Amino acid sequence: MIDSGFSLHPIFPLWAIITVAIGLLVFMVWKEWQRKIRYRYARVAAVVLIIISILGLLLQPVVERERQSNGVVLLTPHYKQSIVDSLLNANPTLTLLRTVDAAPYGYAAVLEYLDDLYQNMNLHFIVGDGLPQYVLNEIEKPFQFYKGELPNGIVTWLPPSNFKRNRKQEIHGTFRSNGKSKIKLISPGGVEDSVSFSQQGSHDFTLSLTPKQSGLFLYSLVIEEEGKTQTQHFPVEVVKEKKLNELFVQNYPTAETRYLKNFLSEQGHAIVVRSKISKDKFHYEYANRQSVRIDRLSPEILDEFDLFFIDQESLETLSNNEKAVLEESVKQGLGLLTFYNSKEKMKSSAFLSLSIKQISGDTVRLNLGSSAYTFLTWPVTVMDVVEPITQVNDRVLSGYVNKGAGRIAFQLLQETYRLVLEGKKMEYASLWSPLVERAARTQNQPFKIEMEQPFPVYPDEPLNINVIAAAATPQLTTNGELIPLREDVVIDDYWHGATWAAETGWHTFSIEQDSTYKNIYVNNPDEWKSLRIALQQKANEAVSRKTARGNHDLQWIKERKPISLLVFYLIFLIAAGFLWLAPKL
Amino acid sequence: MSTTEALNRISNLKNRYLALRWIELFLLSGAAVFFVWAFLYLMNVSFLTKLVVSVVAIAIVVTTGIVRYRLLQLSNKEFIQHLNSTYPQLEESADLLLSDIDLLTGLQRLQLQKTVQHFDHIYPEIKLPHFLPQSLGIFSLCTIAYFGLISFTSPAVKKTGETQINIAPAIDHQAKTNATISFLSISIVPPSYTQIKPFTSSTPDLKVPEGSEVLWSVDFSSPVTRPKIFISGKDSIDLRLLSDQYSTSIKINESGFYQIQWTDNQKPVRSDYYKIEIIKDLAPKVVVDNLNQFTRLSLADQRKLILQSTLTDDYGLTNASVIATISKGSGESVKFREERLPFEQPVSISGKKVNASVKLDLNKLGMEPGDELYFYVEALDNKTPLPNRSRTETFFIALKDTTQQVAVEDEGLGVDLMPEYFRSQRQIIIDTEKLLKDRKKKPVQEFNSTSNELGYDQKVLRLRYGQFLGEEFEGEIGKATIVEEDDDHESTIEKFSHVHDKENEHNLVADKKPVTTGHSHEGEQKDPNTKDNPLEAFAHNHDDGEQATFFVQSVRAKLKAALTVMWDAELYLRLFQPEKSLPYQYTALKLLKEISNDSRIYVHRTGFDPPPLKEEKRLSADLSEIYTSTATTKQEIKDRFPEIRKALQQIEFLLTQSNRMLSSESKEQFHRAGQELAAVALEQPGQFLDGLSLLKKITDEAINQQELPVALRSIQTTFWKVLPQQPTSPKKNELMMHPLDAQFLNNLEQLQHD
Repeated sequence: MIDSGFSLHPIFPLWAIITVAIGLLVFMVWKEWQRKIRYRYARVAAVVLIIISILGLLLQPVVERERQSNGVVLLTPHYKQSIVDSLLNANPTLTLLRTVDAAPYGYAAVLEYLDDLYQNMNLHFIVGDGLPQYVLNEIEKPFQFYKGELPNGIVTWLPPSNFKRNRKQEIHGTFRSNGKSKIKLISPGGVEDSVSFSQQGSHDFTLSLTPKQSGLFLYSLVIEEEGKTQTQHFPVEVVKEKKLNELFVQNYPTAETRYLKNFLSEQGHAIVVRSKISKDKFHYEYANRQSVRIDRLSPEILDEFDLFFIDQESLETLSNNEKAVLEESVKQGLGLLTFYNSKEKMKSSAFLSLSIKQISGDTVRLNLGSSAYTFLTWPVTVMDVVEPITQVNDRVLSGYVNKGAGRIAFQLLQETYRLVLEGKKMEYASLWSPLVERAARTQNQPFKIEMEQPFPVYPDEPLNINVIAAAATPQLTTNGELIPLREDVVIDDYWHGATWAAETGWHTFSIEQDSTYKNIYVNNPDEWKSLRIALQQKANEAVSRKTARGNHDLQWIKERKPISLLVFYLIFLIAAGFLWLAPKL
Repeated sequence: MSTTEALNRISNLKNRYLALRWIELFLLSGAAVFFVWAFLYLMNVSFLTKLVVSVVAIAIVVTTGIVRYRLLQLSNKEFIQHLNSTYPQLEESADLLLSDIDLLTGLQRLQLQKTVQHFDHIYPEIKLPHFLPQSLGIFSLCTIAYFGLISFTSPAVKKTGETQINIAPAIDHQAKTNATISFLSISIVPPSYTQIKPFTSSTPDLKVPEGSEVLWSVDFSSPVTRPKIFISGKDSIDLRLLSDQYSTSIKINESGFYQIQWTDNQKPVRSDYYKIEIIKDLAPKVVVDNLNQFTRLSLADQRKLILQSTLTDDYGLTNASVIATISKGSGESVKFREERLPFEQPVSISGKKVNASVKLDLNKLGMEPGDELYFYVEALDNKTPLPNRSRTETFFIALKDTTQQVAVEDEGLGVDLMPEYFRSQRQIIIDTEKLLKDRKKKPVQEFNSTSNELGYDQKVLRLRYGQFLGEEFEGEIGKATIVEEDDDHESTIEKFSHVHDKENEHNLVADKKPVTTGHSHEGEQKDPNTKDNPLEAFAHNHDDGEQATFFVQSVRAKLKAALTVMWDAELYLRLFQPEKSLPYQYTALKLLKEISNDSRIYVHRTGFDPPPLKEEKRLSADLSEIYTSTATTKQEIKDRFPEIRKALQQIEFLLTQSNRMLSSESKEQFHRAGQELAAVALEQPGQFLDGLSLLKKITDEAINQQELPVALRSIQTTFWKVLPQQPTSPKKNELMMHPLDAQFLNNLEQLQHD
């Protein structure tokens, strides 16, 4: 409701207020007219004043004034006074404004309405922590940002993209400490990890956690600093493992494949093992799945599997047709892991193999869990661009190479089954599970829900949600309510939506068409303040102009100020007092 | 208006007045009741008390009202007097209405008429005195006060000042109707050897020495039937009624938990879980204070060592000693001797901590250079029936043997420096042959002397082998004869001729030799009493070479033959005729070789015996009988504690809710999880029993809303601790591939190819 120079911000719907006010006015004027005492006109005037003052209280009018300025400096919390001084020195005609929570500075007036920032203000500089992302989104004009000092506390927080059950995962972060301090990571089962700092300053830290159960959990982070403890929660969503479909093809069974197969089938993965007995005679083993006959590799068969284990000899004896099928399948997303049979056969020219170089070391000492183990390795190193999974110093022992949408994985460690024989199942799992997982085919989802805001999110702030939808127009709901989405102007199948979380806690966003969902935890606004400020500073820096603007022309800017409610109250009091006094005069 | 009408009206008015007063009293007593309840609520008293106090309050209010307003005795006269005094219009004459009209004077009648008229006038305006609005106000105030109080405060918790253990019945709301445990005492009698006096436990959670006798005495607030104690959720023991108290005693040998159950109104009521913790009788601790594990003493060192040892035990030691083993010699001839040495200081071991010492006199122990002493200290405690026993590591004391020669076999030296004690048969043969070869070059004297020396060597060798046969003396030599030579007694002619005129002409059956052979005759002549000595068959006569039993019979015979041949070989060497000696020497060597082979032991090789190959099938490339085989397994290992896992999520969900009402499903879930937890708690009651009790309280709704989040957190922690660490499993990753991503990948591939 913006008029020229005057605007209203009614508490109740405007029509209701006006109707009631008119009714009340008529009734009271009639009532006063009826009273047979003096000052009839004065009393009627008092009644009118009463109604006006009530209207003033309910409608909360705002007046606009114009004044001259050549740009605005907005002071936000934690601004550096020296920067403001310098800015004013360089340009004395700058207008100072400050946000409500920023410290007062000279004549700096309080910024009453964010609207002003968007529309009529000539915003040149922002000093301090900056403005929240949702405000930045609306500001179109460029400005320059001078960031304030980072607060003490956690200023970066990088949890893994998703938490996995029974896997030790690490959270990295940066902590600015004031002195001696300690951070404890607390799971539902108690303290999971902790780190302490003895000195003041900025410290990088790593905390690790091993979730034991899938589901939505709240872990807490307790920061103990100078006798004060501060607890903040962070969400841990442990997703339930989806099982893989794996195919082993081998010329002859080896202990390595046998133990790997047993390990994977114990975890519930569906497995087919085909071992050659003689020419065209095979022995099949099926675990956790229906039987299937694989006489030769076909796209239909390979599409069914996520990961294909094959030994070097079998790989070489594939027919040309099968090789072509396999290569295409890998490009479409199938994972391939080749077991080497002998050093001589590790030729880089061979089909679908990696370019390798012979090196000298054939044993390696590897730290797994709490102790170190010595393993035999193939004395080679992979020359391709490798995503490493296991590595010792610079030597990559297992990893994968991208090929199309699929991956070609390798494991240079030999006789890893020794670990199982020694009863070190956890260590064996830590060696194979990440490799198998990363090498296996990724399942295509029809939809993906993304949150634009980084962690943490607070109630009553806009939540911008993006949806990538491969096929249909997505229908995004939360708590049974549909969130309107609009498609991106530039990118196809990319949808944007916004909502507000009214309460703290878990909020689930789901796509109506299928089972895609995303859980978002909305934190208490008292938590993660330092992280929020750090992120906000980064966001402001990202949109800040890099150079100071040249022209500082004088401009008329509009300034809006609400009329003080005290004025209306006093009017009401005087008018009502007169009405009470009138009969007695 | 007539007088009667007026009277009726007055009577109506009076009734109205009374009704008003009664309503007023009703409201006031209601207010009083609420007021009293509000107070009693703060003091948290029983319902009965509330009722009684309320009745009293009502009675007070009503009585006061009745007395004050004279509600029961209020007569028309009094009421009219009130009207007279309130309304002057009636001119104090309303009481005329009550008097008999016939008895009235004229004036009075006139006045009556006037009064009736006035009364008629004022009747609609008559206001009866009452405090109805005030009473209503008081009533509402009290009502608001009461409801406000109960909705914003919680009742004061009842403090129990009882000295006995207060086992709160697990189910509070049942407690109002059911019998509760009014008295419980637990006395513990530890086993006598611990020397701990019997004591009573101040809490129902028990921590008792192993093997203690625990006696529970329970009394209930009202009669119950079949009270029992459940130990660790398995065994139940009935409590027997002994002089108004139920009691039973059990010997506790392992940790666990217990619960008291009783039946009241056909309903079983169970107490909370309480833990039983065992204080194990630990084995003694034995430490050797002053000696290293390996001590090596040289010749000059003191041969007397003081061994100091500290022995400790939680209840008391009964015995301790040093077990020493002395080893003498080395290699195959090593000998061991074990000795148990008691401590010298103090002489008898007793008490909880003992510093004991003993002097080890190596000379007294009979140790010589090269010998070693192994010892350890062993201690026993006073546990019955079987004492705990513990010992130290084994300690070593070695005496250096400085005289021992160290033999060095150096491969680089061509000469054997080992002393040549005797020559082997092969060497003698080689030397003899060499002697024969050099015969022409050597002077006769030298030849003879060498031959004689070789003869000596041959003798030494014979004597050496003779030892094995028990021929330790020269005198025995020569007595032995080769078995074959038994035939010597047959005539030589007979031996070489072919006799046909015999029964056994073609040697089809073994020859029956005449019993009276020279050999046997000789033997019989030598010892005619042999057969008469019955001991002969059982005794080992080692002095007699004939009877030596080092070897089995066949080897013995061969060795005897070898010795005889050696004797001959020596004979000819001594006679300076080495060429004649050589054949004997060869025979001796052959026999010796056979003997050494005989004494070897062969172990028959065992293992897989493959079925015989069908030769016609070999290498024929026939695969017709080889089939493609399949094996299907389903071996997914299920997660342990599935119910606890579900309950964990349930708790996390409940904790995020503002309204934490437990639904019946979640209670059911907690109950199932509790069963899993109970199984774990059995093994480690100390760690999980608290969680189990708390879980029981929650499912029984014995925890109020304020305490619920804390309780849930605590249970969650317990559940989390129960879950085992499992190996990580790979999971299927999910990815949303925007068409642009796919295009990007394709182009990237293209770029790589280019």
